[in-house]
Amino acid sequence: MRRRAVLDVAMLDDHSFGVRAPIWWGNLLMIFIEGAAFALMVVSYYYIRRNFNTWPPERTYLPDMGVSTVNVILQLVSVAPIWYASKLAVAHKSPAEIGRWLMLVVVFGIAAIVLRAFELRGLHTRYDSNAYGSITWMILITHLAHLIAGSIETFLIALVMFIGPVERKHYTDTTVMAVYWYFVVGSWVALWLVVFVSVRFI
Amino acid sequence: MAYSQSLPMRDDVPEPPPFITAEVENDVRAKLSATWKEKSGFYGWLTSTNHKSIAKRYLVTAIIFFILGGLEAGMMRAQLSRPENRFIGPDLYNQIFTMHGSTMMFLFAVPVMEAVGLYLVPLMIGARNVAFPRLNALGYWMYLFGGLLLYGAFFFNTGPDAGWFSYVPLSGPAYSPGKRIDIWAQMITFTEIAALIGAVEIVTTIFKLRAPGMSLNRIPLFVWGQLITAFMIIFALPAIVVSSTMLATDRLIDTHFFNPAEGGDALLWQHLFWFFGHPEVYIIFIPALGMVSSVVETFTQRRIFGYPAMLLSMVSTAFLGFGLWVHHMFATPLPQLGQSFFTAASSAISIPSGVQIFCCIATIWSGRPRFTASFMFVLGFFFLFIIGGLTGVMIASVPYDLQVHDTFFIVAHFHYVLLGGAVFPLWAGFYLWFPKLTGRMLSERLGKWNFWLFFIGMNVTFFPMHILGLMGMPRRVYTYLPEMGWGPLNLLSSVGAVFIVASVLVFLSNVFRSLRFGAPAGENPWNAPTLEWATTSPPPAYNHLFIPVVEGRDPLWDAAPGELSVVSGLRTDRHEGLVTSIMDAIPERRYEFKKETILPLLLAIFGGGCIAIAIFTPWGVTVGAIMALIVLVGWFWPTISPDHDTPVARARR
Amino acid sequence: MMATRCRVQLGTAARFTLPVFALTMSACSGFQSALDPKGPRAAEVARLHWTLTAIATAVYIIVIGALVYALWRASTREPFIDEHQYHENPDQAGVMKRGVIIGVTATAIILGVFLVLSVSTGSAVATVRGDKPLRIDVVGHQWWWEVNYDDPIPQNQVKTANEIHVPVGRSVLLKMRSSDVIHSFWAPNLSGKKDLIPGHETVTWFRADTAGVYRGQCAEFCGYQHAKMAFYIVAEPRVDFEHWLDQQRGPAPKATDSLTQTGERVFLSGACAMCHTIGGTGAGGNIGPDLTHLASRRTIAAGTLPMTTGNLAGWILDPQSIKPGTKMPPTQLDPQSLQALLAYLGSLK
Repeated sequence: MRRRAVLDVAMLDDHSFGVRAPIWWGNLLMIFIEGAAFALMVVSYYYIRRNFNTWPPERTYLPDMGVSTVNVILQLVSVAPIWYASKLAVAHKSPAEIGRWLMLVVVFGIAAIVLRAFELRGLHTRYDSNAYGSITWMILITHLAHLIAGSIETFLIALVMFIGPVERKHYTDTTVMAVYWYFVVGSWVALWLVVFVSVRFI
Repeated sequence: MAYSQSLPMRDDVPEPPPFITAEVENDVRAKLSATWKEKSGFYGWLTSTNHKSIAKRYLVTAIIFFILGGLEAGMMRAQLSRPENRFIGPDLYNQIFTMHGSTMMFLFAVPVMEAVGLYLVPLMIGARNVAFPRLNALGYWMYLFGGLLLYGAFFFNTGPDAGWFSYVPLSGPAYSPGKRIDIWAQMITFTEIAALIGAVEIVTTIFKLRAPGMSLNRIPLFVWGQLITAFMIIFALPAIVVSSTMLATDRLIDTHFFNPAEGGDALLWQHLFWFFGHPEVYIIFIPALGMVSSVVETFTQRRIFGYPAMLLSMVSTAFLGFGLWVHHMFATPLPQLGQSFFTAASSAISIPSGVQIFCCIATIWSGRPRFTASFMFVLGFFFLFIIGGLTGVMIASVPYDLQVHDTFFIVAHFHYVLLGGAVFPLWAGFYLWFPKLTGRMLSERLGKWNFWLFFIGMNVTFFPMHILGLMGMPRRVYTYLPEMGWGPLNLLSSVGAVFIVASVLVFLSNVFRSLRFGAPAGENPWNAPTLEWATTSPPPAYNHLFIPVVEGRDPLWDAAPGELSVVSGLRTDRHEGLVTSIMDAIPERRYEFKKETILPLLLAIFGGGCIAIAIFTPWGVTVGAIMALIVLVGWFWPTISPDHDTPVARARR
Repeated sequence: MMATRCRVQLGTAARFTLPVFALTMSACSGFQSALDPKGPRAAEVARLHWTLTAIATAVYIIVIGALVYALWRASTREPFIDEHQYHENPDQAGVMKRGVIIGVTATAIILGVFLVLSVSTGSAVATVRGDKPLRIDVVGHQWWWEVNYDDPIPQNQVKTANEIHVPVGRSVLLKMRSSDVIHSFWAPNLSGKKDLIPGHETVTWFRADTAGVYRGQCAEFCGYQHAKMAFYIVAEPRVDFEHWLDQQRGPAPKATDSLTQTGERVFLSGACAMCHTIGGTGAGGNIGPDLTHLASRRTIAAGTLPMTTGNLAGWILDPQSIKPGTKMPPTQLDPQSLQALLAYLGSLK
């Protein structure tokens, strides 16, 4: 086999953002996987509905709107700081500033986690009461796992931003984290609509 | 053949650039070998992140599981060879058929297809490794631990015994006490994580790491098959993730997903399981179609006819495959109109399969067939898969299915499509690619014995089962009464199993003999067209000396013979590859692959430990999560690469 | 050399079809066979089977024929000289394209035919024939069938197990549910199967057009003894059926001589009465089958053994050796008690 070099890539950059970064694709595919799982839980929720005469089942209160609405709004607000941190990262701005915005997101994340405990109480049912309790708890707990994972990851990236050494790939990581966070919040809006809102109409 | 597209190629230069000199090649080869050299010894083996090492492990492990699954089948056939046989009692038999199904579906079929993909895809697309090498290693360890968990349990008489499909309420807490089913559910967790990891690797690698010039319409059909399958895995596996979690919590912490007394539903399990289960069989079948394309091209020395049709048929099979699952549930109380939809969809899916078959026949007609063992296995695929496909259309019909559902007719059908449609192409692939993997040729003579023994054995074992099913013999029975008249056909079927065992023994002896004494293979013994044949056999750790530049769909046939256009400028002092755009494979950036590390193994041990403890107590989840977190922190711990790649540093180089 | 290989392939195909036909014919008569229909539902499906099999066989022969032809034709051409022949030959492209299009179109048309046949058979088997079907409730248990003949008058209700008597020529509507796991009711001579699912009530129907005894078997894996969970459908002339039903409606025949009375005492004082009911006595357990008219049944243990004194004795003493895992425990009895018990049970006609 004799080879001719027809293309030279030595001057190509060695990091990238968005669709040009393999890690961005890995993150997106993971979002597809988790999204599919949530979709199936939602379908199961409505499937189980057909086994009951009333919904929620007899002697179960409607889930509390108060706490859950606060949590949804909080999470939606948390999109702003991470979006901004992501914009800064693309522009390779100061790591300390990016780190501060990321820490703000972590604070929102912790708040959401704490509120999740109240939301679970506000379901007025236990996971072992009946199938309604089981599916609503499963939805909330699975999403809680994402909140925890997302908060911890954001915290760690922020830590790297503060302490260093900061490489350019960490800027990419910040933007990828943002996409994941959009998924965490977006999926919660959909799940909240199912568990806390649609329950009142079906 | 000229393919015009905007590549930054130096085609405005009047003559092509000169060949790279032997000195430069040797220098690059020496540097790459040094950089990509893995640590030796056992520790080196544990820490490897090279996709070929990991894929070979997957292959060997999957074949071992295939043999174990086959032994289970052999025991079943021995027990059923005579009415009221006392070879195996009901408890052990129920464990064995559950193990057989679970092994073949979760521990052999999907992992082996992913393994072949993980080995060949980077080579075929001109990449040096998969996109996330450490994640790839993690996938293997999770797969291995899942299999060990299942077989460990089996050897301690705690194997699952409610079928590979584990219907509730039989598999629920009330009717399956003990830990058997919990172990099954957590085995699923391990293997599903491995499968999903493999899928993420394959998609990202194929999207972003293709050689320059390998635009979408130049991707080999084998690679397309792997890509489509990976997407199917991403959307189908979550269904069994959710359902096995529901089963585990029903059993462990008293949730009521499947408990009708508290609003749960036994049918919910079936819907979720089969929403995964039906795409699962296409996840096994579509890579096999890709292998068939490679084998047909190589051994007819002709490009596959109808590339767009072949591609579209794989894509439509994948989509349609998600719309068939209710045909496993025709005997349940579902509305008739809904059932008719699934009949139509289940029949319609044979149209894309037909396209594949007809295009292959056309390619064969126009080519020059060489009856190697590999090609014979592909011919066997046609003979066998079409039978399975035809019985498949028959059972798509609801009234017909209501007679043969859950009988040996169905067993016959799916073995024809799975063995004929997936295992025969897999064997064809082994015989095609063994020289590339090992540098040695397999014996063609033994290969043909392998083929004939398997072909005859398969038909003798499984064809009578069609008749047994129509004669009233249900599935999953450990014995039957003599007056039923099922004895003779069962005996015949069991005799066929002996041929299959013989075939596998011939295969194994062929492999071992050829590893020691096989003829050296050379780079491209078959004169095949795709890029994996453009490097040595076996390939070096870095795959290709220089990343190729692709000019057509069959790169080695499109280029002038013995010549290859390549890319220069990649660093040889770190594991570097090239990231290109999705549509046209235009180079975008250079990419560093992660080197070997013990972290994937550690994460598998801790994460796996957590999953295993969750069999016994939900606290396993908490403890394990904390341990996993510690490992993950180590995984993402920032390090500056030793030769930090700034523009200034690059220019200096 | 290439041509010889092709002939080998053809020979193999021929070597298969003949034995295949012979074997298929063996399913045509018999016992628990879907191809020996005794009622309209099974008959429709059997008809569909032969039609589909004929079409499928024809399709297979044609497609494999095309493959074999392609192999033979390609093997007899000139070998390639250089690499330009790897690519499509424009002369052949047109032929191949036509061939594939014809193949795909034919496939689609045949599938359309399949679909029409399937849907029409489906409608034919779905509607219950005739009005006023006989209503029977079936409850699935691990590993036996509880059979209840419904009637507005409570005294006319019949409770039996593992054996269903029906009048010839009259439709029978079965309402089914399960007391534990999923089972499936399947008597292939009469109709396709239907699952029994806890939490759902399922319905199926059949009609026996010929008198006879038809065997059915559970067709959904339900645990240890799924393999031995059979039942019998006895289709008899209407007069015989009414006679049987009348007899089943009455309480158990009284124990008259001393042996049977001893046997009755053994039954009532032992563990038997905890699980089994015998109508008209104090035994009211409902974990196991109702034994009121046990001796009128053809088989015991859900179709596992013919009803004989010897089999009954074996079953009572050690059910685990006949159906390992069954819920009935072994019973220790001395020979005299056993004899008495057998005499008593044998009197329960």
